[in-house]
Order: sequence, then structure tokens, then C-alpha cells
Amino acid sequence: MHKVKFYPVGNGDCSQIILENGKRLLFDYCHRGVSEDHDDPRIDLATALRQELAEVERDAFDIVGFTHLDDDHICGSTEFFYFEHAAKYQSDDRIKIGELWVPAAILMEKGLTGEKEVLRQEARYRLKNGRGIRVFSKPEKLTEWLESEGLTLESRRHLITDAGQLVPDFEKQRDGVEFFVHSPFSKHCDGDTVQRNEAALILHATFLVGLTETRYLMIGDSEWEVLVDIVNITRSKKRDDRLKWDIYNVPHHCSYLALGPEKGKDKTQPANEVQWLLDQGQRGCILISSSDPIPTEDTDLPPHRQAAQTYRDTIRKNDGDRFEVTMEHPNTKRPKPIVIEIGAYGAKLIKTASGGSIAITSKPSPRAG
Amino acid sequence: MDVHFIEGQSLLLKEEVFTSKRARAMFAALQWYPYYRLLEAKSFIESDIQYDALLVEVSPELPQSKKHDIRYREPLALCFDHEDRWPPRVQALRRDFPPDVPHLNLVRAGAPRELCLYNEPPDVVRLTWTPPEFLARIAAWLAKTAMGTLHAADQPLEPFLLLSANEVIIPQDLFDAPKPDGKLLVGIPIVRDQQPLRYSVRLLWLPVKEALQQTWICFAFLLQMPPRVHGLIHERPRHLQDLHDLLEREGVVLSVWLRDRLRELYPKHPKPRDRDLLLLVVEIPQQREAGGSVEWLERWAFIVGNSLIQVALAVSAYEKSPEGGYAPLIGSSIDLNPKASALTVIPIEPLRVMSDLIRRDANQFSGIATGTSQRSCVLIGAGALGSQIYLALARMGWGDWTLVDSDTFLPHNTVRHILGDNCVGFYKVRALQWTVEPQLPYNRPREAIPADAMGFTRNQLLAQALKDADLIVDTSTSLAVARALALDVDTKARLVSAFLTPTGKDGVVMIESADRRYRLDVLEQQYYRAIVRDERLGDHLRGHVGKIRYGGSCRDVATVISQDDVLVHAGILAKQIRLGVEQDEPQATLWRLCENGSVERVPIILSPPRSHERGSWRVVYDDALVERCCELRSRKLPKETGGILVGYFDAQRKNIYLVDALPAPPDSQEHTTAFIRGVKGLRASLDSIGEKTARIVHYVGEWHSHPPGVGVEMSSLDRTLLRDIGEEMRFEGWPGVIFIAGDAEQCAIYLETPPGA
Repeated sequence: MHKVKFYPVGNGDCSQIILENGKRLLFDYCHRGVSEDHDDPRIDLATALRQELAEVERDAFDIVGFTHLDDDHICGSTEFFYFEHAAKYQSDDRIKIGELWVPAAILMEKGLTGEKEVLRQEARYRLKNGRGIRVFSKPEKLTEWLESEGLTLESRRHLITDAGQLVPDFEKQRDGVEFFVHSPFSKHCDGDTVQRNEAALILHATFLVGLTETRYLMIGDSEWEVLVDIVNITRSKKRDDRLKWDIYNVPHHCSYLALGPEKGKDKTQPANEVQWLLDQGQRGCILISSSDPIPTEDTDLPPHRQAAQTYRDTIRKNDGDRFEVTMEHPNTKRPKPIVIEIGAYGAKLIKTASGGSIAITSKPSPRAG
Repeated sequence: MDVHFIEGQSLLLKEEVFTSKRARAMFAALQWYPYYRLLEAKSFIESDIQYDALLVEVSPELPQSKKHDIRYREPLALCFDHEDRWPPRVQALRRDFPPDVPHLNLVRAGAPRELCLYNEPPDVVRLTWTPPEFLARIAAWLAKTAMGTLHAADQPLEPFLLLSANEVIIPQDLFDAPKPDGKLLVGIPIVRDQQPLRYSVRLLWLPVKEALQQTWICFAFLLQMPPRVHGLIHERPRHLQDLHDLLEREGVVLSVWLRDRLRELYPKHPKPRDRDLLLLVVEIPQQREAGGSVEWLERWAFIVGNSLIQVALAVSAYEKSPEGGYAPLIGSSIDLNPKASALTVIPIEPLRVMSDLIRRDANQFSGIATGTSQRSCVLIGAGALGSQIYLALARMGWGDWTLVDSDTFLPHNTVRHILGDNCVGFYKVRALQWTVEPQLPYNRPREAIPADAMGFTRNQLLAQALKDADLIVDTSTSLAVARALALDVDTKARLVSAFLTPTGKDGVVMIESADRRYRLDVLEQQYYRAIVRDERLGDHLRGHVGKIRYGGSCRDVATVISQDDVLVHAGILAKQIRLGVEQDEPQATLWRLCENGSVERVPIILSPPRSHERGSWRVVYDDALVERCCELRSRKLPKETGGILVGYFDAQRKNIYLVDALPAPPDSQEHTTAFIRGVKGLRASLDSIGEKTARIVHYVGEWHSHPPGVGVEMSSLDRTLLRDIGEEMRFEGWPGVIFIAGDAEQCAIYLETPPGA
């Protein structure tokens, strides 16, 4: 049985795929210092992930993917991961990365500072070394950069995967999963200024257990125009299967902009192509919004209640299981990671109430006075 | 979604509107409990009971494909009776909720399905019932039902009807065995209380005459149903019409079947009397899946009606004759169709059906593998310990027992025995037999032989029993018996000796090796060495009076041992015997009851036995004795050393048992070519050994070592020594014994039997 986990990191992203064969793939990372405070409902992500790895006696993820370089997807990563490019990121307690997955834009983005710059340096270092990295899409600029480093595109070809291709490291029959790349396209990365959300990584995972295929559409922070592009291109290539989904990672913390141009009064009307994409949800499908709780009032920043209503309607319409929000699961006071099991019976959202004495005795107690 | 409408009065969604305390608590829990959504609240009356109902939508944990159609959003009604007398009822409101999944309660046609969530009675449920636990239980019921795992594959199939508080006990082979000639199957009511109603009936085949001597009886009818697939718990039928409807669904028309049986009955004798009852025993073969094999036979019984006659009239089997008696009714079939109203006035009392215990059950209930329980066993000694070890093992269906003891049961025996005052004056084994037989019909004693175990040469029955036995358990506390069993009796049986010390504080079990290389007499010899050597066991045989082995026999009225001590030991020793004989190795272990209530186990380390024939005598000793001498020897090399040998003689069989070799007394003279044993402290050592061993172990001879390279042949000095010792021992009637230890654990034993010894 495979598992997908979504961590309650507020308006941010962090999810993990744990394959039956033990391989672990982490997508995005968002640890805010304030989450270490007991009263903050957000998970202390660094501690939680360390504990999980310790339980299986590991100190590394097989894959760590960053969909794009926005704060809410990388926050705290330079204090958590072991980076090969500089000794200052190599203390023993850091978590290692087997293979780093990044969209090509990360390598070329200019004027970066802080954590973003560190991640860019690490990606560049790994690409120069020719191992431990996979770059998604190959814009002209990437070739230019490689040449400036005295390298050829050809020598790094095996580390680059384009949209419309399968990631070569995983095979459905062998690993129980394959990853199809929807985005970024080269055009996203070749503008003068990099549009991060547009150049973000979007993958479609197909799990295979027994004879059952379960599909997980992993969308980062993309907006509706990107989804429209993806739907059109994929359908024109007659790859509709790559748009079917059982699990859908709701983009951009439930922003209306991932559905359509207008927020709407009670619900957001999706663009036609996005509506079509939502209709691809299979019976029993699950929608996960990695976000703060859905507000009851109108708000400028996501999550938007109108978008949430559209997703809830999608569940009803498709006889789906749940629209679940990371910061509401199972309640807003003490959210816990959302776990989805993927087996021969398809995807199953775990709802077994995880409170009680077992929960108390499996973690340190709150501080006593 | 098409859902059932709950009739009744709508309630505001406020805690205080509910009468049921549980409903209030549930209302509060539903404010936060995940995956439940409270929709509305109602109050309604059903069968004169008032309910508060909370209508909720639950989202159970479901994968995408499911075995049964449980939905991601299931509407439920949680119904709480105002008094909170029963666990809340949980109705599935969706009209197309699957009707054929296991663990649904029987409901009237058209009513919502009801989940069966508990198999404990309401009073037990009450102890741990909380709203969150209840909600979790419902969610789990739905999640597991969806996957068909609520009823695990290895779980027994679901009973056809809910449990009843009352029972009937039937013969194990009731439905299979042929009907015995001249006997009538009747139910004898053992308990029949009215307030509260409590029935206990035992079903027996009785001779007709005997059956009629009972004040009143149940005429028993056996009904075998066609096989059915398990699932769907039915509610208790309240009257004959309910039962009729229930069985009709399974393919049997009960009223007609009953009428036929009752008509057959009447012309025969005995005729049912007004007070006699009708007991219906039904067998329902259960399958896991349609067409599958019958996995088990569900059995149910009902006392039907207030009397058999009442039922016979209701199903038109009999009619009242003008003389006031009854006669079978013969008429057209139209007349014979009983009116439904006639059947609804016939009450039905369900009874749980339990089968008589058989030996396999006794094994199972005791956690004993049946393969290990079939042994032919002889119990020697039916005293305090013996009777209680025997009963403990026999009850569990372990061993086929022959009981041997020549004693009669005396008044004071009652204090420490499984028998009691009603047995005084009888042979213990006979009394045991007739006491145990009705108690353990599944493991009756094979034979009771009221004879002295030593009579095996004269008593043919006893000789045969010993010969055929797999195991002989000697609890006789007689040295002579143990020796005779070990050495003289013709048997292939493995021997076990079990006894208590005089104070009752220590219990001992010795078990021969399966190949009988270590016989009981050898184990006894090593047991004494343990007592001699182990400081802790100094008081083991304390309280012993005279030289009759393990002290106070039961005939000794002065013996003070409490029955609770005997019980503790009987349990420990019985278990040790049962488990010990599964091992091939010899075993000797003792258990000591400590002042603080704990029991200390002292295992005795056994060493391979050796023996030497010397003239007409056989010397029995073991590796441990040789090792002791060699160890003492090597400590003193290149000088010689030595000391005395302690042990005992068996004059009857001319055996000499060497128990231990003592080190040289301090005033001994140890030279490179000679050894003169001193005397300092020797008397005290021998006294102490005698004290510890109930005067059984004493001086038997001398040992000394030879220097390296000399061998273990007697020197001329040794010959003189042996002759001198022989001369002295003649006064006690024993031979002189010397033991010489040499290189590499070489040793030799020499005997001198002076004429006239």
C-alpha cells in the first residue's frame, strides 16, 4: 500500500509520497519558526519529518521536489536539509536529499537572495556535478547557462525531463508509480522575467496496486491560465488519461484564481477547461487544499470561500469522498497530517479519529507549570 | 438520495430539549466530532417507548471500490430512549441501504435498517459507553461492512438469533445418533423460576416409565432446517406466529410441521398431561456463502406455549373430546389451517442450546492439545495429594485413569481430600470412582483397584493395569512402592513420583526419562544428594518421624498440613506432571512454599547414572559422585586424599546407593603414597546428613585417591583396609565398600562381604 500525506503548514505546501517499497518523495517544505510554539495550530514540520524518518531509521528522502521558489514552498528548507554545495549546510542532524527535483527556472532566476539563492546554488552545483538532480523542461536559457559553465546540454541530457514525458526514475510495474510531467513548458521559463507560478512543477502520478490504478494530480501554485494550457495541450495530444484524477492537490491554497478569472459571489465559476478538469474526478475522489481554514467571510488572500464551494460541489457531483483542508483536519485547533492510503481498492482517506490516549502517549506532553 | 422519514416532533438544536441524558451528551459531541454532521433532532414514540433522535450524516472511512454499497455520506438516526435503558438504536435512513450485510437487527418490513453494534448486554455496554466511542463504533461498522471485513474470515459465523439468558443442555450427538429403543427424549426442568423468568432444562433419553415418574416434563421435538447463509441477526420471536414467520423465510412451515409431530405423538404412550410442556429444538446449518460448505450447526430451542396441549389445540392437532380428554383431530385441510390469531397467543421462550461436555471440549477449555491427553495412567495412592492431582488432570480430560489404593476413607481425611464425609468407611478408590463418574462422564475412571500397590504379584488386575500403563503416578509416599515400581514391576510405563514433605511446605516431583535409563530409584538417590549438598534444603524433610520415607502418611492423625497448602502443591505438581511427560529428559524438581506467600522452585541437577555388579551386589552411583572424588583428588595431588561415602542399602534387591563422597576430615594424614582418614567432625557431619535425609542416608564406605600413573587397582594396604571395614560393617549386616579414584576420572569399587553378613 502506498501513502500520500499532506502536512498542516498553514497557507503553504508540504506533502509526501511513501511508496510500498519504502521510497519517500517529499514535495515542497514549509517550516515557520512560529509553528514550534505549542499554541500555534501549524505542525512543527521539521520535528515531525525527523520523527517519521527516525521511525524507519533513515536520514534522507529519496526525492525532494521544489515546485517553485515561493516562500511558502521552501520556507526553512535551508535549516533542515543537507546541501552538498557548502560545508555550512552539512551538519550531521541535517536531512539528506537523494535526488533534487526542480523546474529549470530555478537555475536561471536572477537577483535571488536568502533561501532562494541557497536552493539555486544547490541545484546548480548538482547539475554541474552531473548527479543527484532532475531538472524539468529545457529552455534556451538553460543551454546558455550550461555553456557558460563550460558544459554541453548533451552531457546533462539524462538529467532533464520535458513536459509530456514520464520521469525515468520511476516505473509503474517496478515502483508501483509513474510520474507524468505536465508543467513547466519551455515557454514559461524563457520570458525575460520568470513567472514563478507559471513555471512551477505540475506532475501527474499514476499508482498501480494489483490491477487498480489511482491517479494523483499534483498541482503547485498554478493559476487557471496554466491549467487551461495544460488541459488543451494534453487533450490535443490525446492523453486525456493524464488528466483523470482520484486525488487532486487544490492549487494555490484554494485561491479562486486557480479556477477562473472572477471570484464570484457564493462560488467561483471555473474556466471551461478547468471545469472539464474538475469533472475528471473519479468516484470516491478526494480534494486536498493545503491552506488555512476556509473563512466564512470574503477575503482578499486565499483561501477563498467561493473557491472552496466550487470544490465541495465537485465532490457532490462526482460522488467523491471529501474536500479536505489541511488546517481543518480533523479540527482547526489541532490539525494533524492528512493521510491517504492507496491500495487495490483505490484511494482511502483515513478518518479514524487519531486522538485519545494512544495519541497522548506517542508524543511528549505539553509543558507543565 | 431516497431516505426514510422519521415521524415525530421536530426539536430545536439545543442540548436542553433532549430528555435522554445520552442524547444530550451526544449532541455535545456532535459539535466537534470529526466526520459527523448533525442535521436535525426529533422526538418520537415507538412501542410505547419515547425516543430522542439525532439525525446525522456520517462520512465513513471508505476506499474508492467497495464490496458493499456503503456511501461516502450516510444519513443515520441515532435514537435514544428517554430512560437510557438500552444502547442507542442506529437506523440507516437510506432506503437502498444494503439489506443483506451481517450484523443488522431484524426490523419490521419497510422500517429503516438497524445496525447491530454490540454483542454485550446493555448493562455491560453502559460501563464504557461514551458518545465519541459510540460514534467511532458506528464509523467502524460502516467502514468494515463496506469492505466485508466486519465479520472476519476466521470469526465464527453469526448466530441466527440473539442470545437468551436461559438454556437447555442436550446430548452431544442428539441429531446424529439413532434413537435408543424404549427411551423417550424428554427435557427435565432443573430450574424454572418465574420472577424473573429463568429456565434451565436438561435433555435426556429416559426409559418411558422413568420419564412419566417426573412431575412434569418437556416433550422434545427436533427440527432440522435447510442450510442458510449467515447474517442478519433476528430479533427474539415473541410468540408462535413470529417463530412461524421466521422459519417460513427459511423454508419450513412450522404450524403444519408441529401439527404432524403432535398427531404422531398422541396415539403413543405416554400421553402428554396438561402440565407437560413442548420443547422445540431446531438445528440450522450455517454457511459462509450460498452453496458453500456447512461451517457449523446453529442450535436453538424454544419452550412453546404454556403447555403442550395448548399448542396442540392452537395448531389443530388435537380437539377436546366430549369426555374432557383430547383426541387427534382429523379433518379437511381447510379447517386445519390455524388462524394467525391463534398462534399469536402462544408465547415462545427461547433457550440457548448447550451440548454436553465431551473430552475434546475439556481439553480445549484447558488449553491442552488433544493429542497429548490420551495416556493410560495409573494412580498409586488416592490420598490428599493423589486424589487432588488426579482430579485436576482428569477434569481437563488428561489421562485415562486407573486408581489404586488399599486404604479406606477415614473421618479426618475429609480435611485434605476431594472426597467428604459421605465416603467414610469406603475404599478411597471406590468412593472416588462413584464420586467422579457422574461429574466427569467424558473421562470416567477406567478401573478402581482397592489393593496395596505392592500386591502386583498376586493381583492380576493390578498387574495388568501396571503392564498396560503409559504412565504410573506414585503418590503413595512409600519407599517400598517406589522401589518396587522402579525395579520389579513388569511395565513399559514411565514412572512419576510426587509427594509432599512432612510439613507440607515442600512438594517434589520426579519423572523418569522416557527411555527409563534414569529410573525412579536413581532419581531418588540424586534427590538425596541435592538435600545433602544444598544448604537451602537443610530443613526440607524437617518434622520427619522415623525412617518411613517422606513422613506422615495420611493415617497419621497427628500430621498437620493445611488443605490450602495441599491445593497449591497439587496444582503445581499436576501441571509439572502434565508438562513434564512431554519432555524425554528425566526431571526432579521441588517447590517450597515461602512465608511471604511466594513459591520457590528448586530444580535438581541430574547426572548420568552408573552401576557396577560386585558379586551379588549392585552398586548404583553416578557421574557427579565420580566428579566430586576426582575434584577433591586433584586439589591434593601429588598427595592422596579420601573420606567417607554416604548412601544407603536396599537389602531386598542387594543394591548399594552411593549418594555422596565427603572430603577428608582435617585430622587425616595425606601422603604421596598413603592416606589415613581422620575423624574430626565426621560424627557431626553424619548426624547432620542423617537429620536432613530423615535418617535414610548414612555411612556406607570409604573412598580414597591414587596418585598419577598408579591405576585404581587395590594395593595391599587397600586390601587390608577393605577387610577391616568389612569386619566392622558385618555388625550391621552390610558389606564393606571402598571406592578408588585415579587418573582421568578412572575409578573402581570394591566390596568385601564377610561370611555371615
